[in-house]
Amino acid sequence: METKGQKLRAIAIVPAYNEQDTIESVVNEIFRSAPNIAVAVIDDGSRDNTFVRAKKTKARVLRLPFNMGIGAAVQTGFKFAFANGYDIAIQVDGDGQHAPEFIPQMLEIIESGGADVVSGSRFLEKEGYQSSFIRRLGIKFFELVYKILVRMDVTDCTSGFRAFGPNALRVVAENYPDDYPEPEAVIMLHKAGLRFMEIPVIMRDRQGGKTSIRGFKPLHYMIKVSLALIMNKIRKVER
Amino acid sequence: MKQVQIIAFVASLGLLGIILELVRRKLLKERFALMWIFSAIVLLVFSLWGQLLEILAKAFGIYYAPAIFIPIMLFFGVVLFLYFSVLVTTQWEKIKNLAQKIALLENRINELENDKEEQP
Repeated sequence: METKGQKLRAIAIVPAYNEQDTIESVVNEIFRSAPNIAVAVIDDGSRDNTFVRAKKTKARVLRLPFNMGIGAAVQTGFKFAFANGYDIAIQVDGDGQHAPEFIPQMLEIIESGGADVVSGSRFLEKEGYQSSFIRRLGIKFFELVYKILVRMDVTDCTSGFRAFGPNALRVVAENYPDDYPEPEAVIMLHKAGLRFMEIPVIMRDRQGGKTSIRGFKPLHYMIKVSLALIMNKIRKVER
Repeated sequence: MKQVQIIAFVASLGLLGIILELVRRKLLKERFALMWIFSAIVLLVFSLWGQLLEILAKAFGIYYAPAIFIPIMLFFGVVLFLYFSVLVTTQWEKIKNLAQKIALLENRINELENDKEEQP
């Protein structure tokens, strides 16, 4: 799948659950920052007007029949991208946390063969929205877990701002975790032999919607995710 | 037959009857019913063959024979719960794939219809 010089087709995958207030501006901002890519909004069974608002933009819009969670929603986008012959998929959350101006940089790294997966980290250069103290503590803890499990430096494992190159897209379209998708995917991708790389990005405080980790109970979450990560470590990955 | 045996027998028979009726009404799938029918039959056997309890209790080194039901039921219950958890997981996986396929197909229909409208 290596293509040198030839332009790769890219699509932004925007999962959205009840994001009627932000979805249009998020999509339009992506088109402004990266005019050459397509956008697919995945409405994860929203009960508000997310679907209708998304349809007003130039994005291609998919709607899940009921709410299935971020992992399943994003994977729907990966399947769509793969089935429609796209080479690169960039996940950008529909709540406006991710600044699309970083997309061209992510694309460039993938196109030049620098990595199979590029993930935006808000902690590489501590700028912009840094999340709550407890959550940062948890992320520090996971940094250690990744060092132990896969000897990787992952500073922002919960980041959902990621670009997947051709080889990675094939894997995630087929098989994407849906319990704690972002942290789990890091290990899954590593086990699939894909090169994972972080770049510093600036994240904003969400413009609308609610966090997908409702009633965030830090210790409980840390234990559950650690277990999931260990399971990913010992599980075989279908390639 | 002791009184307690008669009650146990009637109750087990009743359970078996309910299970079979549920299958007949298609409220219980045959493949799950098998397990339930098996448990009802085990209960029936226990109610008819009073000595079985004593024999089992002796084999497990339990002094108070009826107490053997507690670990047996507990074990049975745990296995059953586990089985259903696995079932729920596989169902979730299937439902997910189905929902994703629906999303892709719906999008395809919408886009095809839009194309038709644009070039009549």
